Amino acid sequence: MAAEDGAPLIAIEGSCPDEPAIDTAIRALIPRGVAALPEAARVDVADLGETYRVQVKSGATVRARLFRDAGRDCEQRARFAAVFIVLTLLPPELGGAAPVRPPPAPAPAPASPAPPPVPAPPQTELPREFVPPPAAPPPGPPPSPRGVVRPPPPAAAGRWRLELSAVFDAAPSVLAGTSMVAPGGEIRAVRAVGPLALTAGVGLEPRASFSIGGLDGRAMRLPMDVSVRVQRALAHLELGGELGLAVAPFHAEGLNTARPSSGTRLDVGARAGATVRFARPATRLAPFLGLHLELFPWPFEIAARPTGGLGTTPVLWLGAQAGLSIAP
Amino acid sequence: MTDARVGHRLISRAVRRLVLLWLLAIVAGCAPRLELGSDLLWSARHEGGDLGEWSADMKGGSSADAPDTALTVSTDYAHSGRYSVKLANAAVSSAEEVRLWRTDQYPEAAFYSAWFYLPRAYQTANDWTIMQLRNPVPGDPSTISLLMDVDLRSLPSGDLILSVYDHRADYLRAATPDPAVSIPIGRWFQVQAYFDYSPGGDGRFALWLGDQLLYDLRRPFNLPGTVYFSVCNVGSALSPTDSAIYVDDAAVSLTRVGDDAQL
Repeated sequence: MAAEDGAPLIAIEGSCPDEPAIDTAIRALIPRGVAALPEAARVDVADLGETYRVQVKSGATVRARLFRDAGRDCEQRARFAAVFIVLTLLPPELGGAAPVRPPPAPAPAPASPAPPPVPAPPQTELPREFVPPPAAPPPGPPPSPRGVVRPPPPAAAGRWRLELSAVFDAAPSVLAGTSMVAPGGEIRAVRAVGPLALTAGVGLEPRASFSIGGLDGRAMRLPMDVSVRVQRALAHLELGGELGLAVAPFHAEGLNTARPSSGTRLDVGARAGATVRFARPATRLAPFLGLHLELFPWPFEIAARPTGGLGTTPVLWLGAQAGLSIAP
Repeated sequence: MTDARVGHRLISRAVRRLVLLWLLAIVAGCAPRLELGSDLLWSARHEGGDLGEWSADMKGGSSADAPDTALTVSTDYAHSGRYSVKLANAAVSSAEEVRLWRTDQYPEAAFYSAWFYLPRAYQTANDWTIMQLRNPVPGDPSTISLLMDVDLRSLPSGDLILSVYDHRADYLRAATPDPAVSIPIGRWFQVQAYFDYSPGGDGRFALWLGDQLLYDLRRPFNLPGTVYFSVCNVGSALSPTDSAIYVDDAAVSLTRVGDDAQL
């Protein structure tokens, strides 16, 4: 976005937020958009990874704000930057000039700027009814007595997400364990807590066939886990790695004996996984792929009379899943 | 409350719940073995202290020729548990029999096995039969004809070996394996036969001593379908005269009964 003398009015360093997003956000506040801003003003927006800086220079006055956004919600960043830019460059709407102050130091502890006295807007796109009419000041906190403007804070951390997927698990024959193939499905709840996320998953694999020591059988599994996930947003992808505890009740039955029987047991172990979500963190609906590994170090002996022990239940499961991630 | 504290509380709560689930799983006593079926058609372990397993459903029983034979449930020796059956025979001049028997419409192919114990070695002068597979005479089910005998025979060295005798004129005594395999004395040993009497010419009688295959006889049997399985002490003129054979863990199964089989 350039001024008439050719120098950029708004200079963008990085891609989150980008120029179109900021332009759109400013236009949502003031219908004339960037054209309504003072021509002599200079705005610099820098994408610093988990933080971003907005600096507004108007004459001899320089104001800057450093925001923290680990989730890299670029659309949200554009809206906050737009509010800061507009509030800084259009002081008549705020009722008074502010003294020159150096840019404040970045906030050390909180994951987001301090909440204002007014209720924080949700961590989603601002509803249209909260967008002020043209020439009216945008909604947000009143300026501090010293005139430092703070844009509306982001929504509180802890976003929920539901992941529905088809799952394909396979157990290789490790140690004395039988090999198995178990297709099924899984539902997983994810709750972001700062840079981490807690996940809890439940799966259903209704028919896993196996053959061991001449005995043919089938099993139904209900794998469950609670894990901690580390998430990282990269452009239009979100990567996740998770580690947690797993349990898997299963019911197995023999098929080809003179007197078949069945039994139910509980596998206990650990689970590790990796996911790739093909969207920005704030996108509500997105596809994802994942790989996981489950280890059950206390297998059960599979036996049939009169032979006795034939082998064990699987110790190691390797799996893949593909599905949809849904944010309510 | 900060997000870090919220996260810590959530994680602690989840860990506590999982530990409780683990403890419940342990306390619930998830047995380490998962039994998914059985190929046992019948077995006799004698742990009831009686012969009820042989005579159950009126498909078997016991017999002992007077006056020189006796059959008792004993605690002298046991292959598993506390009890076995002692088959004693002191016949001198003519063969006498003491036996346990079981009969049923067993499948055309099945394994018949039992564990035996000889407290001492004996010298045989005649056939000394310890296991039989027989069949009812067609048209007269009350008469059980002789078919396959598993005998003990003495070698010049004094060792005892297993020998197979087919009562049909076309077959009779099967050739002894070379080298001969002697049975142990003072230690339990398993004798197991695979008997396939399916119609046509594809019958089979195979005999193992433990894990060692001694006889594999391919010949037609063409039985009507009822098999008479017996463990016995049939003979005479043994030296010394008073012979005792202990029998335990007899079974009829669709799959071979191993050393560590659970009956």
